[in-house]
Amino acid sequence: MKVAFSNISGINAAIVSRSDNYWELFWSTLVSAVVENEAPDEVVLTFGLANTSLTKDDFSIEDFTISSLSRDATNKILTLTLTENFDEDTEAEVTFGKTGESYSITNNVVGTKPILISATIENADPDIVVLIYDQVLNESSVPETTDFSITGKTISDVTVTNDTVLITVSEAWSYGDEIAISYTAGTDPIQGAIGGLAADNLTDETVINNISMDTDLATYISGLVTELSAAQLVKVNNFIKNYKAADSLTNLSDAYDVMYYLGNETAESSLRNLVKRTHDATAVNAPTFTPYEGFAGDGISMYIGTNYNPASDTIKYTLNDAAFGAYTRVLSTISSGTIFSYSPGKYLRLNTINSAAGDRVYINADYVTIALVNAAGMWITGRTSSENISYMINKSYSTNTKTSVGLPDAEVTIFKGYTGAYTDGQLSFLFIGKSLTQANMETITDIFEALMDANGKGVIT
Amino acid sequence: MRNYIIISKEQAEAVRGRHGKYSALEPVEFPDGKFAVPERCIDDPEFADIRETLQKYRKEEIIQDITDLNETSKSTKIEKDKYYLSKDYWVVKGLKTATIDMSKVAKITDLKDTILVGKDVETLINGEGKIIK
Repeated sequence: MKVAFSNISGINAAIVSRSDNYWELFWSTLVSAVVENEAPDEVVLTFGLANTSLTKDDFSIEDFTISSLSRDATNKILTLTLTENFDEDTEAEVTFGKTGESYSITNNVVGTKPILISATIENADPDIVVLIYDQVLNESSVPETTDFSITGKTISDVTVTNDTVLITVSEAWSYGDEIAISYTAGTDPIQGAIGGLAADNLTDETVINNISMDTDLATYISGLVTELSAAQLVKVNNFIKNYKAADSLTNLSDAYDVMYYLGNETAESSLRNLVKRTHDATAVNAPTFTPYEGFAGDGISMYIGTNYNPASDTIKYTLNDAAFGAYTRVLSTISSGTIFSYSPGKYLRLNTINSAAGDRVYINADYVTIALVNAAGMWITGRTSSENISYMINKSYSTNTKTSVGLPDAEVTIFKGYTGAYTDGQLSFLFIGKSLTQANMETITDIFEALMDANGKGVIT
Repeated sequence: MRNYIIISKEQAEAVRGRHGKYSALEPVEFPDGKFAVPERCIDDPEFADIRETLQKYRKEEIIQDITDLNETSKSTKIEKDKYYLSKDYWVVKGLKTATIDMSKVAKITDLKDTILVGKDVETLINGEGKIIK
């Protein structure tokens, strides 16, 4: 095809004489346009005459972007590099802008580009990202770990098997984690087994997190009228999971009878027992609930009944192997017992007050005095034998002795204490269970404080 | 604000008990034999089943903000028929209007002409001094 132009530069044209004495210019004929399998992102154009002036902008290919143009030594062969690969199904034409003519491109590519079907993390392997492609991959072409990046994780291994790429990280994810992966092809890209076409790079590709929530959490939230937000579920799940891992518990019921996260997102959930679906608490006279902080008593009538009686309901909290604790955001100003259960001579009692009453430690007996700094935060009382008791406030720890007498035979109440007098203050957490070592006490303090901090409500300084 | 609706024993029994899924109402008996329920229960969805009754109480009965009794001041003002929250003696009631030098009061029962204390508390005081056993 020959087309006349009035302004021409370069030599990829022929000036010929016409019989009517007008000079005309004819562009050299495009001999071929080919994409080979070895370079599926390159269109090789062969012209009849050499040229030095044509640029990538003189060509266009529908649905493709030309990123550059290069020449061979003869200046007859031009190579257009594309931003995307051809695959065996590609049909395309190259349009030569100088003439407006289009030429069919001979496609010698074998196979198709691997397309990512899914990116997931499964419950069984929470430390592995699973990329599944639409075809069998070349198992000999295994990307380097450095070809991938995942925020906050160190990638330790990459394997390619069948249609799957497995990316292993050094630390597992948890339920609800948001994950994205990026990939930049290196020397050994992800490529198809047939034809060897490389898969696309990935930029912050969302990885679907199929890790299940902790079983205790699943039981805890089952049947809630008002569901917890996804963000809060993640926080509570992390609390349970991290705590169980730290203290080597399979279930919370391995160590506890009751555990109330009183500062959960809703009053309904805050009154539920995290350990099992019994002993959910009752809010009496509408104690003030503040999401993420907890319940507050008013000193007049408001309290929480746990529906848990140490004498009749205990499994883990026993006479000489017992512990209980509470997290208070606001100390009480009344000393009649923030946490309270009583039979004559037998107490389960905590006075979260900054006075001498706060130094009184009661667990299955009358009190013995242990003076610590009575500040807002985590208060824990423990008994490891018929004589030995311990006390911890915000990880400050001490011990004393007091002979055990028996388990109090009355419901444990919050904000309702001795002689039925009420207390005030604000509580975010209460647990009752078997004895805790000093390390155990520190662990639950740290992990619950992390939960409170996650919502900006922690008070331990 | 600790607003309470002051009601009779019969009115208290009419609303006492479990309500909603996780709540209960337990009107508390004050030293003079009257009962009280928090006014805020009216707006709590858990008490929807007795809301109309509580609204009726609010309309017909006294509502009082129960403030703390200043137990250290040399000039604590007591108002007749007003309830106060004592940190050591729970809820007490003013029997007459007076100004008291609390620093000179050893036991609140010494003010029996001015302040009414609950019978249970009075017994406790007689036995052990203060309620903070």
